[in-house]
Amino acid sequence: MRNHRGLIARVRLRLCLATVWTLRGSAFVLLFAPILLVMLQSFNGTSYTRIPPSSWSLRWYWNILAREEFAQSFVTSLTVAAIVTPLSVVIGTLAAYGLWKRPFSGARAAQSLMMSPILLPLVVTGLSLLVLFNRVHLRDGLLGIVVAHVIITFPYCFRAVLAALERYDRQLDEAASSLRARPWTTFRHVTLPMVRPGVFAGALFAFVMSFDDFATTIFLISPERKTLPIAIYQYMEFNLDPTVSAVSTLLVVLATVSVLLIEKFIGMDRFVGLRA
Amino acid sequence: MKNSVLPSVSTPGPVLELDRVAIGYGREPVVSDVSFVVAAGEFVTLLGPSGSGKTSLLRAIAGFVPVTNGDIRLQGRPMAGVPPYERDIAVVFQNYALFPHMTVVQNLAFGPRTLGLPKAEIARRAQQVLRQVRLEAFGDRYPHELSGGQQQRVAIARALAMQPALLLLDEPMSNLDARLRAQMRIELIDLLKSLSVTAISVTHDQDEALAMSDRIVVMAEGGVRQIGTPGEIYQRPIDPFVAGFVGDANVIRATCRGEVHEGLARFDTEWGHPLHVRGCTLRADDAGLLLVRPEAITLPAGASGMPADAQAVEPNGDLNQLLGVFKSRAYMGATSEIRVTLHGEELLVRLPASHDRHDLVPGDSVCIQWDAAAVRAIRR
Amino acid sequence: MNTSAFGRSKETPALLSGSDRGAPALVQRVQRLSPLWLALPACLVLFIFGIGLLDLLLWSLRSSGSLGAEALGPVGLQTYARILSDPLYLGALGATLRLSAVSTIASLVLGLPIAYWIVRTPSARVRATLIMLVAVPFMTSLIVRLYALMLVLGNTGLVNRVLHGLGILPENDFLPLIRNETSVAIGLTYFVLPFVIFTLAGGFRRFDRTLEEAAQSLGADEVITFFRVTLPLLAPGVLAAGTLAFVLAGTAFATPLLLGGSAVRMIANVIYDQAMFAQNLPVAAALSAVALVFTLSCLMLAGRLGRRAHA
Repeated sequence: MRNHRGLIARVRLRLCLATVWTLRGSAFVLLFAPILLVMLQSFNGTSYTRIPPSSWSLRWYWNILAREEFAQSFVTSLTVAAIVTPLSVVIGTLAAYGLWKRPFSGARAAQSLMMSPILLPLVVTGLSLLVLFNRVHLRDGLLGIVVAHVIITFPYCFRAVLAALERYDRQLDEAASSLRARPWTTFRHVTLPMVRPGVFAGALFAFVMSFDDFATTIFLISPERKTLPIAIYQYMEFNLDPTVSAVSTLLVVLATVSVLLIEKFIGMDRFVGLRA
Repeated sequence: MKNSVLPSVSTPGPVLELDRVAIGYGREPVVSDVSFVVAAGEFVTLLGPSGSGKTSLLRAIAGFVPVTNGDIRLQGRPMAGVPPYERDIAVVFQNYALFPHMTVVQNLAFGPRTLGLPKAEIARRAQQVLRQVRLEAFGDRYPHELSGGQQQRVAIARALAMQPALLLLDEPMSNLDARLRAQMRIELIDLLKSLSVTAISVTHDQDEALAMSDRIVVMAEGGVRQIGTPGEIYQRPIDPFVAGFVGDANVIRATCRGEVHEGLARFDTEWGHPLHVRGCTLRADDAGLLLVRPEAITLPAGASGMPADAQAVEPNGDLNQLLGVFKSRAYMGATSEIRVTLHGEELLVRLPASHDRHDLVPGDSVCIQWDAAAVRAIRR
Repeated sequence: MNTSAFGRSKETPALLSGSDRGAPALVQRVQRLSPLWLALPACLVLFIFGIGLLDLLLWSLRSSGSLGAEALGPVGLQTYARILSDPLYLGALGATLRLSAVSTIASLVLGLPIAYWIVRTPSARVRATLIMLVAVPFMTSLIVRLYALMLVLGNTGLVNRVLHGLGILPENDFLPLIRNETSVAIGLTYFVLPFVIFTLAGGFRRFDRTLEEAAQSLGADEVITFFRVTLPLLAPGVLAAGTLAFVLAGTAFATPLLLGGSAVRMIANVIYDQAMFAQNLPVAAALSAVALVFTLSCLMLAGRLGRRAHA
């Protein structure tokens, strides 16, 4: 009887382990196969997709520079992200510090409120801003995109800084206070240096989210002003050549570099909230 | 007898005055109606169990917690509405709260820098306090590179670098091991006295309070029980709580029967045994509690041959005698703690180990004695 | 010994008064204010967001109109009645719920083993590597990922080429994996998977390992321990991740747009079409309100269930 039970248990264990590893493999295949394929395609010598490529070439990368819409939209995306990131960081950091400094009863609700722009559907945000900008006759596309991106990225900065503050020892602020440091001095010399990783994480996240955004931005673009993801999409509608793959590969490189930077400076596990 | 609410040192004016201070709202406020005064150069300890409000009181003096009633005055100036960074105080925190991203010297220099002192003065002060806590070689270390005891000294030095009117210490010894604690007590007091620092310390450790303080404020449940010098607190506790919290005490319920001789009063215990007490203020028919310290009780040598039945043994002048049953002994190295039961009560006796009666076994009759002046009688 | 006179510092008599170092009174007053004021810029941003939202919701109470033109028709809930009875919109809502559910389940099934691995691996290096591997797709622009998926699923894409190469499919035939609900479901799973993995891992972190050890000391092997002890206790984390996945998938825009073609329309696509092409702002607004209600109720439900699980 015991042997019988042991056999079933062992078979069951093997089966479960096999399933688990199959699922893990499948998940990683799903996550990476498309990306790797795109990177492969970007070096394709011919203009139609063929797997595996019959020849190799860098011409699609040169093509990016030749295509005006990519260069222009890249500059737009970069400009927007460069303006939006410091704004979001300041707004998010100040809000997180302000809500954390002196605990009050509605704090939980206030935190949810701060996160609301990313909790609600991005298309709704995009459309409501379009309606609003229309009403106030906001013509400048760039300003509209900047405002929209600040709205949907500052919650990430808020959350990152708040997470850092919650790990911070409040008594250090009290110690500084007892050493005659006024609130601003305490913040600048004691609190901020200790939560700097959170600020940096939030900044990087804001930058990437602004750069990558599609669903909100698509409501706010105009023929003269568009961001890179939208330019890619529009190009894709009419062209099937691997230029898109080349641009995509560059964006994958950007993502990889960001991840490596975060890992080096803060630790990726802390960034996604997996370590105290 | 004198209760030292007011300090005995005559000074140009107290450093700290607490006037009917209350903290917290509702039916059970954290602190209620606390008043006392601290003179320049004094070391006052707030002593009490957890929940007594002592830490809240300290934080209120520092300005971290608002006062709901009463006044706090620092050098005559009312502190209502004054934030911590505008008070002339410095705090040594229980967990030291050293800035992890700064070196020891940078930690020490932080206060003087915020004060806007010139660079030369900042450096001088930092080096000076570093010397005073004997950590000259550790200036460039970071807090996490220091031991617990060293961190404590940096915390103290950082506070002293401010040259505050009042130093506040929140359980400064609690994170040190027992041996280090005993050593640091002496070091700290020597240092503070040499610098004429006025300080208030919070602790639940009665040994620390007795060893270090000029005066002790015993607190419980948000209120002050007794204020006095260590000697007054220990020898003349005002109630059983203070008697039991600061040291151990045997409590015997008895009724006063009036004076027997000049200054000597007679009390009858609940089971009718007479006891003599010297120097009490109770009068005949007053219900009272007699507090006897365990170390005041002795076992007379050669007390074998006592009558077996537990007849009441009369007090002999100033010497009280009782017959009880030996229950247990705990050997503590330098002392022995012996428990004796009689009439449902259990008395604790503490003897030097050399005076112990090793022939006693549980169940033996034993006679115990104490002096009439070693008893403290309080009204029930 | 040093006997500096404490208590009455001679160097800085100004310390004892209220004005430190002669800082202007205004600066001092400002610093004594409640720190909540620091949240003002954020509140301003939220205010703009809120006004836009309100404006949009007001549009949903009218009958017709387009951007830049006047809103027409009486004020009332007629538009809501219209969209909730029109099979076109109902079909989109149904597709939305269907596809969100499928991709939620798929992403949980695929994500759980990886999240478990991330939390349980004893090697910090492995953990960091796993997290980075999941993070790279996470930080890559969605358009890129969707395009990449199109390359895999397309008629001349990777899957079909492999099937042709292996001889499973004849040369002229292909597996339709693009522009249908299947591709959108796969795409949504792909989109949501990193979120799910990170949320699950965050929820798993709080799990007490000693409970498993206790179960094993009582004779349960790894499998039984996992299903009887670990999984029920991980339920709150699974719930949180599942809710997030459901909400993200339900309001997805780019995924159905690229992978679904014109065949698959989810609620976000309908909103866009109605607003930008059909010039029917009230309908778009009403659908937006529906999407908002959907999101909020999922979050609240998850919150309530999560709390009850802990009670």
